[in-house]
Amino acid sequence: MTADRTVRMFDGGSGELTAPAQSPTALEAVRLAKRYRGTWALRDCTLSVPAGRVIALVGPNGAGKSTFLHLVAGLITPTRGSVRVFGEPVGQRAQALARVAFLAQDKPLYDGFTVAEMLRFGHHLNPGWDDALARQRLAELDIPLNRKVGKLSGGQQAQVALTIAVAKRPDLLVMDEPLANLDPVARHDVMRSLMVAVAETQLTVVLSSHVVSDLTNACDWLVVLNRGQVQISGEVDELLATHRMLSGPSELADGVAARMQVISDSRGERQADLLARTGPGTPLHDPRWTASGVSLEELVLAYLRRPDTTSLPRPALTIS
Amino acid sequence: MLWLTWRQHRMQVLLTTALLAVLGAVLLISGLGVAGFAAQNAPATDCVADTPACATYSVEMNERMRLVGEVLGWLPLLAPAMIGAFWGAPLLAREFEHGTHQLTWTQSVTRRRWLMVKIVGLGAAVTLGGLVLSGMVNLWLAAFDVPPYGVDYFSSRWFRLVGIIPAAWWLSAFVLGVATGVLFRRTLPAMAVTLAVCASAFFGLLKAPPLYAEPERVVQAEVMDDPVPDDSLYVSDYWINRNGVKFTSQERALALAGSCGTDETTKKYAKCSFSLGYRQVAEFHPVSRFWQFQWTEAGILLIPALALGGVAVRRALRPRI
Repeated sequence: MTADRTVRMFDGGSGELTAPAQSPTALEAVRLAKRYRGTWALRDCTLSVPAGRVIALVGPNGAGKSTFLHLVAGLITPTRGSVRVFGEPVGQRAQALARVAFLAQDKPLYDGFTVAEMLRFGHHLNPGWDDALARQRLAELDIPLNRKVGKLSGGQQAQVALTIAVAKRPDLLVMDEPLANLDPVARHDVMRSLMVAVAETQLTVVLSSHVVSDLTNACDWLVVLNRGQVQISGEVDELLATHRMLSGPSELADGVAARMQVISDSRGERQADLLARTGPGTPLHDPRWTASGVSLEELVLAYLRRPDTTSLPRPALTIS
Repeated sequence: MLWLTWRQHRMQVLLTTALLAVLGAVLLISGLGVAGFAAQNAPATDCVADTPACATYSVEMNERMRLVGEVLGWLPLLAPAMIGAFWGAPLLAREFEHGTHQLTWTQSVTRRRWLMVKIVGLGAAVTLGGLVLSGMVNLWLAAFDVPPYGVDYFSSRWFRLVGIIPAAWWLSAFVLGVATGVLFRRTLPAMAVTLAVCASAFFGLLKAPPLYAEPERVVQAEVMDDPVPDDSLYVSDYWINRNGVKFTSQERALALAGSCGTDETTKKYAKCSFSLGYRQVAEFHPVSRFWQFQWTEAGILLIPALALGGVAVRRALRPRI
């Protein structure tokens, strides 16, 4: 992706001009920290994600996911550190706001507005509004424009909220638990419609969830946040390729564990299962040991149980 | 932004406009009736107060003023409270309550601009509403102002319905409502507090206007017509003796009972009391202070309200949710 990716820039909010992206980094946080009344919700978060990705932000409840996303959306300011979206700082300026779309946790909409009025709301408040895209999406989803938003189903409300976020034509779409409170069918539909939008508009997306399985198929970058810190940030395929479940006799486990970074270690009387960070070609030497791939869910769980273990790319690593 | 402000607050705007229109129609009908009656029945302007022609006219005018006047009498209390509770309080509290501020504050319009358009736009509408009310009441009262009947705009009965005071009350209540909305972040508590503060302000200021300036004082040393002009704002009257000691009417009656008798209504009694060194003092504000007092009350309301509003706006603009 992305030499030809363009970043929209606004001249005082009115005139619009486009310039080639200076940086392929979509989202960059440097030592980002946020404190609420003496409690650190987020501590020293540093990460960098290239453009064009669908980023899954995963972590247990209270890990700081919402705080991180609110910081990215410019709704709150960090206590320390900084966030940049496509190289520009986020915050309460019109041109910074125009670059990021945010879908809050409960997908708030004005219940008394009709769907058409919600579109008009988007149109009036966003200079880059793509009305044709919005109307086309809603037509495909069979959502009637003259219906009051409050009378739509939860799934339809989520679709309207997503449509408004996408039709804003942001560079980065931030979604806080977009699938929470949706039934399985609606979860599937929302995810699919998000993927269509990503394919059509080349958006970079960050979405959070505490349910890893929701995100497995859709996301190609994983960020795990735990206790206010970044524990994993990396490409999903690469993470899966560099982690292995090693099984073998318990009595030899110490020797194997000593040679590599072990994330989780469960030992029975005879057999030990080690989830370890390895290269794909790391030899096991001993034929009594077998290596198998791990699922994203196993990998995340293993890390979440060991908050002091991290898997982060080397500094300043970007894929171009 | 203007469209959004209108779309979100059109209920309040339309309802307030409708109520003002109904009131305007009532005042128009009543006013036309009064004007017709006065044109036909007004006696000579110098008619003696207690003669039948003069009295009948005054009684009829009073009667015509009474019913509509009673409805109007509630407005200085009710109208600002309603404006504060239904225009001001929900403005931000509703957004916080439903989480929609997270939607609106992440569109491409800054929080500052969004807030300014809403507050300035609706504040202007509210001020206009207050001015329309006072304009209508003023026209209606003018219909009664046909000598020998006189309308006392300075009296507490009309003072808060004419001039700039309705607008000042409405705007202050609106700003107060916005501020409580920011403070409580929930609509119902914000409305309740706004209503309570509006009511306290109303009753707190109810008897306040005579204190807005040092009253003028006339000392009466002989029998004469009332030295206080009809259109002035009465403050108090009392008696003093030769040494300047204050007496209420009752105290004076008691002190004079021996020398002047007890029939206080006669001229002889008054002469007797003056001759014994008693002087009648009247305190009042001349009608020339009408606008000074209007602006004083407007300032008493608007300065704290706008200061509170400023604090609330700063709070709302802080980068937090």
